[in-house]
Amino acid sequence: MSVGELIAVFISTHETLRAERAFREARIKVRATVKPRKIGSNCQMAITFPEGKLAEIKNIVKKDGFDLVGFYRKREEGDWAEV
Amino acid sequence: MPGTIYLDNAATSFPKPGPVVKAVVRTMESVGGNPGRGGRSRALQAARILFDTRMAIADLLKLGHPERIIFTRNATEGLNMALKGLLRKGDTAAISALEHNSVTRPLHALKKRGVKFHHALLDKNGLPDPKHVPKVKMLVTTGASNVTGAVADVAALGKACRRLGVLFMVDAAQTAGAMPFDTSNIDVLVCSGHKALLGPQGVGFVWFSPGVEPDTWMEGGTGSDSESLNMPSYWPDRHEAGTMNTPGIAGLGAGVKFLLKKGLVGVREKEVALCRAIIEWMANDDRIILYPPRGPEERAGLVSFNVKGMDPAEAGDTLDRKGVACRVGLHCSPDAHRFMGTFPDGAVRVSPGVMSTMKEVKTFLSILDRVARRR
Repeated sequence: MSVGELIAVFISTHETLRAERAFREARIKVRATVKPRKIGSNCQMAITFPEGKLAEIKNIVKKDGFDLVGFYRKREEGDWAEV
Repeated sequence: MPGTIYLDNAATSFPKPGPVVKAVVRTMESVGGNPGRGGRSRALQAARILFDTRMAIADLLKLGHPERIIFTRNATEGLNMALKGLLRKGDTAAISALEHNSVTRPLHALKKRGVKFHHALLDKNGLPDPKHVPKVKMLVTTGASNVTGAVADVAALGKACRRLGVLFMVDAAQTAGAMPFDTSNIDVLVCSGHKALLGPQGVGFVWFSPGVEPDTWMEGGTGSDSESLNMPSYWPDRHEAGTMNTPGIAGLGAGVKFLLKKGLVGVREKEVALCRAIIEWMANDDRIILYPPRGPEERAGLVSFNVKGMDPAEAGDTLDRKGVACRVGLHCSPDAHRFMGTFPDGAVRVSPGVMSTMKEVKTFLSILDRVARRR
């Protein structure tokens, strides 16, 4: 994960891929990746996206009713904080 | 076999379109990972195959909530999952007179658990009459009989069931991928992947509408919620335990996409035209017993018949030796043969598919002409 990126975690692999498709359709540059173990969720996948797109991503999640676990940012200490 | 005229698409479609074969091989040669097992690229590729196939199925069959499409080995597994997962002691199911053993055998087994079943009030074709849907827990009908080809009015039956609060389950093994039909009031839709949906054998699926919550059919690893002894609460993970048949599902996805390009209306028109040619020839030949319904529009893409004075097995064997692949016997649907009056000997069934040609149908009819002459 690069500086300036956030990750979105969803409830399942299916939901993650569904969200990824919607973000791509909205021309947001996203990437499916492995979910960090320290983030408590049952899905093993996550989606990375540029932090500047958070508001747009939030809108899509709300509009399409995705089952979101949360948005996270990596902290300097190495752990993850919910945004 | 080279030179074979393949008219057994009601059993399994053949040949498969090129993209189906390529999708299976590509998955085996290049993917390798297991869906949902980690986020590494191969597992992710495998997960995408399942996702894409679910979305394509939902698109083709107009199903909401694609996550509620559960992949199975075949339609039989889906039917067992639904019947045994939804019916409880004291419940009653009503069925058509044309059900496959994949419906009647699980229901018979459920009798031991206190579930009852009986025929619904039937129309002239042996299918449930939408005007007289009984107030039971579940109405189960074949979308179309694999013996007579009679097509159920699932739109009207679905509406009636919705009004009465009856769960409506359709065994769409003979209709999914073969014709458009209204899925808007279906609660449980069970499909075979290897027939008209053009996938390989060993894959099928069942879809449950939102609010229909069957017991889990199998428990085990899902790659999710691994710390818990319980199956995940969310779909599809809740109902997909164990390693999935990713190559088969990739093939099914390619078959469904092939159909999306062709359009189900076009597929149906082609099969109706092929069946019309068969029916018209047979109806004008008094050596042939052709079983109703008569109109090709009233039936799925299959025709059951017998050659007068000839055992169906002998007729089928002779046709097979002359290069025509068809199916004889009871077709795992003894009740349908009882209804049709062909029990216990059965009948010969020919079923053209989306890859069949009129030339093949005409060649089959000329071969049948020679077979009937020799009886």
